[in-house]
Amino acid sequence: MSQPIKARFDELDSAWSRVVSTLNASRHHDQEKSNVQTDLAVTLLTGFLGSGKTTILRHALERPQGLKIAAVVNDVGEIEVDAHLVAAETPSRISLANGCVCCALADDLSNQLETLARTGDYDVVIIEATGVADPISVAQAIHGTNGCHLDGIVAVADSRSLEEQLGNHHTASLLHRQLQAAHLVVLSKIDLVNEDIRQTAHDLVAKAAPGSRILPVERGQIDVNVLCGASDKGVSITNSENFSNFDVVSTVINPAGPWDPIHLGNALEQSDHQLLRAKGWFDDQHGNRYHLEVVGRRWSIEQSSDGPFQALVLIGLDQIDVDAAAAMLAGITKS
Amino acid sequence: MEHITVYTAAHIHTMDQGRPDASAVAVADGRIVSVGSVESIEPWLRRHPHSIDDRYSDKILMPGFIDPHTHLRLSGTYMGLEYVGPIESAAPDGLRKGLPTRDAVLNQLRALAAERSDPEIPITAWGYDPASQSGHLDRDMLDQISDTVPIWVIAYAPHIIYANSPMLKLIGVDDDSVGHGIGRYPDGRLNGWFVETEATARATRPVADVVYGPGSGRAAIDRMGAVAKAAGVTTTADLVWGMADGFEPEWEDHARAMSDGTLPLRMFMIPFEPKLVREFGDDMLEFLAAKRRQGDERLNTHGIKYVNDGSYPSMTLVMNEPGYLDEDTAHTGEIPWENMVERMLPFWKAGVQIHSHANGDRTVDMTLDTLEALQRIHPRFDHRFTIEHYCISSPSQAKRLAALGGQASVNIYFVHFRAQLHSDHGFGPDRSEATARLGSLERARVPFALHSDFNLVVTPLSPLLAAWCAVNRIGADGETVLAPGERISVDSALRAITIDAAYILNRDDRLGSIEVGKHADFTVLDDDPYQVHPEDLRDIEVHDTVLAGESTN
Repeated sequence: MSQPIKARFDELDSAWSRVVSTLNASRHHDQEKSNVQTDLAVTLLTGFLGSGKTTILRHALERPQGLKIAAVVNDVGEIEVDAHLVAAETPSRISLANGCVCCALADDLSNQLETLARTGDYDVVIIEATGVADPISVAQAIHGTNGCHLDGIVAVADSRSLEEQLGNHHTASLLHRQLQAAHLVVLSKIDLVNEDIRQTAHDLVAKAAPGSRILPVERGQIDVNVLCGASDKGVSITNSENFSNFDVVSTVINPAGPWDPIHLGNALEQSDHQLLRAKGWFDDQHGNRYHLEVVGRRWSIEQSSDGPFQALVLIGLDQIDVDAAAAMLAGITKS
Repeated sequence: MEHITVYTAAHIHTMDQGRPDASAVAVADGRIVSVGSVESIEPWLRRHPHSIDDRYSDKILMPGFIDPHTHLRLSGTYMGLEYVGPIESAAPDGLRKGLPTRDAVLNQLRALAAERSDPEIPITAWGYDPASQSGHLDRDMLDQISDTVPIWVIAYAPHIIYANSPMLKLIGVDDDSVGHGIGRYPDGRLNGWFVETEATARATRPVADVVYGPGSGRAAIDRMGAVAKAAGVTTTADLVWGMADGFEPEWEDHARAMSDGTLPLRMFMIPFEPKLVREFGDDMLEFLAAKRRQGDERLNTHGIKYVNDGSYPSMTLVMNEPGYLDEDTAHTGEIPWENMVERMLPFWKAGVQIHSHANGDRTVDMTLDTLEALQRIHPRFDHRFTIEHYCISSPSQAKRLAALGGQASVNIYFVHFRAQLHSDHGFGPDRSEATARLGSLERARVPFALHSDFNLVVTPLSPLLAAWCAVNRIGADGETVLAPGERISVDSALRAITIDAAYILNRDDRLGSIEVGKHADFTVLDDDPYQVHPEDLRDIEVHDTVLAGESTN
């Protein structure tokens, strides 16, 4: 559990706005009994202007690995996807030949997400929050939206300017909030810094947000399966070599379980496992099937009677991390 | 005239520039019969039964203060949550003291639990800071305060909620619950923590039901009626009528509060245009006319409201070049700007006064363009088109607003509470320093009023504090004078919370000054705002208000 920063006067109303957004999201959720059947996974990409969010998004849209991604961005004009991929383009929307779309952030995010969910055309949504947006407020809006769930918050931190941003009192508190809210922290532009600066940036993130899962990335090249959680689409559990291009490793546990879901939840909550992601299905001691999704610190376990198989894929930065997590899981009792 | 009551005072500032000073005011049937001295009003007293009321004889009387832009009914959330943070906070109902330690917070919660009559309703608090208030709260700690009344505390940063056992039950979790962010003691028992958005969203649902449940709108009106009264306000306007729960329920809540005696104010309900159009379509003008007939001098509808950009503190207003220091986070309202003339035209032609929200100077330009287009299509005099907030503007915009016959209702509080922060954060030094250019408006002869927008932004509701900000323009550091040429005189500032605010609401024929025939609404002060040092304006105590001739105490 990370230590919060101290309250400051000029921060009070942003704290208040987070309280209000939490309450409003709950209210919206309760009021709107909609008929949206889908359950779209939404990734929230947060980070300062210039931290590299747009590059990561462009990379994901150009190499979606079969996923149909709807990207919601502040300025469609800045995304500059490869012109060959563009099927149609308006000032507020770019449709790609690979089935992905990039559209401008609307004033009412909940409405926009519900509309995207209703089309049934997309597997995942990635929201690029504006640099100064408080990720918690946006996340609460996602929680309050029918037909969607928050898959994870990914913070992008620029390894070149992180030290300066954390040293400036105007930016430090928001950056702290972004890093602490994140389930995964992407350390961007590591190809542009030397080993010392890279290590300093890594340490700064670990200090600002203890327990962070930190993923160093060059030129925005992050595997779309690490970035987004398309629970049961697009990812082939058996074909995990896909990840090898991107400096992450994966392993498959098959069969997964039997585990008591409470014990598994407790183990994940208390563990400092370094997994970036894990996904798949496991059985409990009675043969009930559950779906497991892990995004860094965040995890969810839900009963899933139609889970297709009993296997998990674990994704981590290196073999040591993945093996350690596999060993942790192997130690969980089944009842 | 059955009976005349004469209130005497140490001094009466009538805000009637022709007859500014008096020492007695005669009132009958809720209206002012005469103002002057006990001697000068004698012709009335000779003809009618009367009595002299000396209760204010050592006080200062002014016309009842008018805050022409508030959101009392929407304020349920803020007032429904107790503040338990470590630092002093400018809450809408005044400054709240910080609680330095966890023990102080626990004592505060204990006091709240002791006075809670209905154990079903949770105690809800916000602002806890484990870093500076000596550590986290937890379930066992809160159970010692009460194991029957649910307690819910949301922290300052990052997002953690603490709950006691009854609250855990209300949320619907127990030791067998599986979910990320639901905290446990080492022995596996739930420890009352909900960490991160997913768990906090879950823990908030039953509380949101309480905060926004049936009756919450009425409860907010009652609480805020008391806050407004304490600040000396006798008239205000709700600027998003219909938006939250619909036109009839919101009207009904205000009407009931007035008949029950819990809302000692006059209230104008200004409909939120997109909602009105959606709900009534072609019948919208009919609906407003019917409501005007149903309304009276206490509760009525007035004007029409548009929202065309974001807010000042959230840095979402729309600015001209060179724009934001960093990322542009502006957003416009629901109605596309290019449709604005078309949307306003039916109301403009029908003579319905337009109140158009514009915080940034680019939005002010768009609003002025729209007003100019309306004038070309259908020229009008005395239309009182009002730009609401008018936070970032230029002197030339003030002149253009004057030329087009418009006026401004200005949020002045940001000059003190926010402007210095935004010098290096969002708006840049020039526009931050020149926030709320009242001096420019005055030089251009644009009528203006001061408002709080309470409580959509975290500033207090206090007309005297607004006047203090307008006169002194002292920044948050307590010493720097921001854009000294935009300061206005004490007299101008006091007009902007009385007679000029009445003008903004097109009620200066009936409200805003102490004149024969007007409503007998007064604000009673302990000190004379024309006599105290201008820097002490905000410290003047409000002793009472008088509404339609009767004390509201």
